[in-house]
Amino acid sequence: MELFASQLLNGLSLGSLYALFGIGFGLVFATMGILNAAQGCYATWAAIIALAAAESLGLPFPLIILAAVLGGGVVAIGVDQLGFQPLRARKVDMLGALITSIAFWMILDSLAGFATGQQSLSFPAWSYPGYMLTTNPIPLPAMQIISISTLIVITVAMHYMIAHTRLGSAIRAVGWNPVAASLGGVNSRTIILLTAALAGAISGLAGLLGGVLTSNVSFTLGQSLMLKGFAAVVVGGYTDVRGTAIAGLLLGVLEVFCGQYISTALRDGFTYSLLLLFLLVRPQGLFGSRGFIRA
Amino acid sequence: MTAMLELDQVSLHFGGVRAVDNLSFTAPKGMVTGLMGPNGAGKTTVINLISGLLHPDVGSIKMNGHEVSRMKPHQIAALGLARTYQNVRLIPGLTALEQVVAGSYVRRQTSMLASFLHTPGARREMKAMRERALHLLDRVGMADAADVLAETLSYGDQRRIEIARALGADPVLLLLDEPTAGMNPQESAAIGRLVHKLRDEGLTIMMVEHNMRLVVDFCDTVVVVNFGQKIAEGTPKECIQQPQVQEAYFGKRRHADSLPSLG
Amino acid sequence: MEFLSDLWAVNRITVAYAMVNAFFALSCYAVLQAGFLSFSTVTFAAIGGFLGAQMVIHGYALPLVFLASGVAGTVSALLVALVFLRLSSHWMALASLALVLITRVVVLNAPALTGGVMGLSVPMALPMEWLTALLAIAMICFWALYNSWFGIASRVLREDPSVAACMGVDLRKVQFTAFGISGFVGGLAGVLLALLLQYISPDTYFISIAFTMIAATVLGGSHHWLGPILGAAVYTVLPIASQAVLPHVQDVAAGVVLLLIMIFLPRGLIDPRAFRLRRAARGAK
Repeated sequence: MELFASQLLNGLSLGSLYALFGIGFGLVFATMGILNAAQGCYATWAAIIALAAAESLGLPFPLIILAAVLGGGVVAIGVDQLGFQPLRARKVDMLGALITSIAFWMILDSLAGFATGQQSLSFPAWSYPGYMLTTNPIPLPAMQIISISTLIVITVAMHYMIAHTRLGSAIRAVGWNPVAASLGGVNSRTIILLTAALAGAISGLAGLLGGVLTSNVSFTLGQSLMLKGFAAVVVGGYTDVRGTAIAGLLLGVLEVFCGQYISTALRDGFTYSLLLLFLLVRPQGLFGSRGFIRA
Repeated sequence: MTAMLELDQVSLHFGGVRAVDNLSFTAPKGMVTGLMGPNGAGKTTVINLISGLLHPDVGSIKMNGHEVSRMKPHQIAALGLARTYQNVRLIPGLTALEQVVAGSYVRRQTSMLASFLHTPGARREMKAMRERALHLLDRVGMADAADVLAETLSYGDQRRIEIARALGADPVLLLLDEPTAGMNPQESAAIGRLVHKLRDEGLTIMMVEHNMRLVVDFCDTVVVVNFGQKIAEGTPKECIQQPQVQEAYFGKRRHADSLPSLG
Repeated sequence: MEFLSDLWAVNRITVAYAMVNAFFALSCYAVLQAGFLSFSTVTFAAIGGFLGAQMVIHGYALPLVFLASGVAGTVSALLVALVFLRLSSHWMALASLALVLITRVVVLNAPALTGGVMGLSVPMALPMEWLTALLAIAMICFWALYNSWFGIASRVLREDPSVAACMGVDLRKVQFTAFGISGFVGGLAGVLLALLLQYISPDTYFISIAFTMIAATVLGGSHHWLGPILGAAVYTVLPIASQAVLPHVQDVAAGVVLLLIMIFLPRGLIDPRAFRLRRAARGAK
């Protein structure tokens, strides 16, 4: 029973990483119609930047989080302006955007390899709360509670912003039709930058938490977050962040239990099969609505 | 007088909008039928329904005796339908000649395999197709531009190439969607004369046309639609004189009367 | 003379790599030219690669190995097409990515066929004559397709599916055929890679090769069959060339080149339309 509860917590915490990343990824997908292969790199680089900042400046944990969020946002803006903005002027389609993002994936991942000396780095023990909140009845690692709470906070905040604020309406309008949005008084340029930065920041946050939790700051961090985050977006539905959040948590739990009770080798297979199944049968996800934004 | 095209109680709804509402008309064989109506009346929707890009919710569409309302576009093309588009849709990257050869696709006799293997028969057919394409370009007055990239030509020239492309399919029914849009009076008249020549050679033509002058000069019979419904059918002169047609195009008389005069 | 033969010996492997990558890119191109982006070539290559490797291990003759890998690729491609062609092109791209992910998991969990996580050692090297001959045959076939009715139909379909349909093109048939071709070439690519590397593992047919093959195809140009071949050559040679000049940054260089292409030459290096436009502009002067 304790093992079950412990594994459940592991699953939720892992899933919260996927969900968080998925929210960032899905934001770009839903509002800009871009399948961003480089999004995983934002997570990787956010973790690298945060680690560098931590080690050189001895920052406390909250500032490390800030460094990751800023780092992710900055990298995202850079990629968006250097890569996607020229395409927008020429109305290039999703394929073009995808390939551009692949180009950035190549660049950023190799640079990340250099930055970590082709190794997997870890955050030093003093830089994050690595203690247990309690061990009764089950061990409650602080970091796991932090990542789950972060997911909840971000999900609520993002959902509120998108659905109930003017900024959210502006973001949705620009995603739907930038020209019409400008005609309606929205500064598309600013909104696009803001959306990119926000998506990068959230993915960066996922990268930091993931880097700490899995003790793996390297280019493989971003890659695995991306694949699972992408699955969360598809299974949950990319039109609503709550769907992504729930799907991410679900996938994390399923993955951990699959690994525990069925087989470690098939762990990923379960997630990806679900992904394929949804793409084939219900592409709008569990909670999404039909109709691809960029048809 | 047999009908080449017969629409019977065709309706199509998009959500709450009635794009086409209980529409019935015939296009007689060997004649030029005009399809008229103000902007947004549903004319292009009707063309899309006939060519199979859309399917009616109810009703039947018969072409040359075949029921085509549930067929796929390529099947309808094989039965002898060819069309042009309201905003000229030539294929980027192809020369004028290649556009027309592409249009002849439906009339190929060699199998895909023979074509891939470049058998003597396949090569002969391709040569014949190219010659025929050149001849068709000549008919529309574009033979000189055969090896020019079609998208670099003027709008009017592109329209003519599009017509040649449709003729490449050797159709029995030709649908023209606003073939003279963007042309000056001389060019439009040339198109009208071409349409008459084609009709005299036995082709049935239906054209969506705004220009009243052209309709009167070149159409044998006319169908007028508005809001997806038929409001008149008959000879051009008959239709134009009908009050509901005039109202559709020019507005209610009493509204015009109520405007302060400019004099 | 000796200098030339030394040059050849040193660069032989690079040329072989470029030629094998050309097969991957051609497989990708085969579906791109019918209007789809699909990463499923990687799956076809995995099937062809592991099947072919097993056949080589068990001593089957090379011609049979190549044929079997190609056919296996075709069969899997047609099955994939059956399911995927019901999706719109965007969802299909994503589904094909998911397929690549699942392929690796399947490879990991079928150790009898694939050696599982340990991979498979292939006891034979790739004979250059075979590679050259196969590539020459592939080029002839793609040339023949380009200039056939199928080529015309797929070009029109890619640019404007509605116009193609009204012109008499059976969209489904062309799309299925495109997938079938992609499958054969992909399966072949897989076994050629297996023979070149002489060792294949679950990571051989995965994301990295999926992305670089798409990049090569786009770079070279996806509107003509020479494009993927040139793109594969550039993508193979570029990292090695830049290693001599700027060591350690070859992957970055590959990404930068792709980015530049996307911004300045999005239809790729070999683009019949661009050539014609330039010729028209020159003629106008």
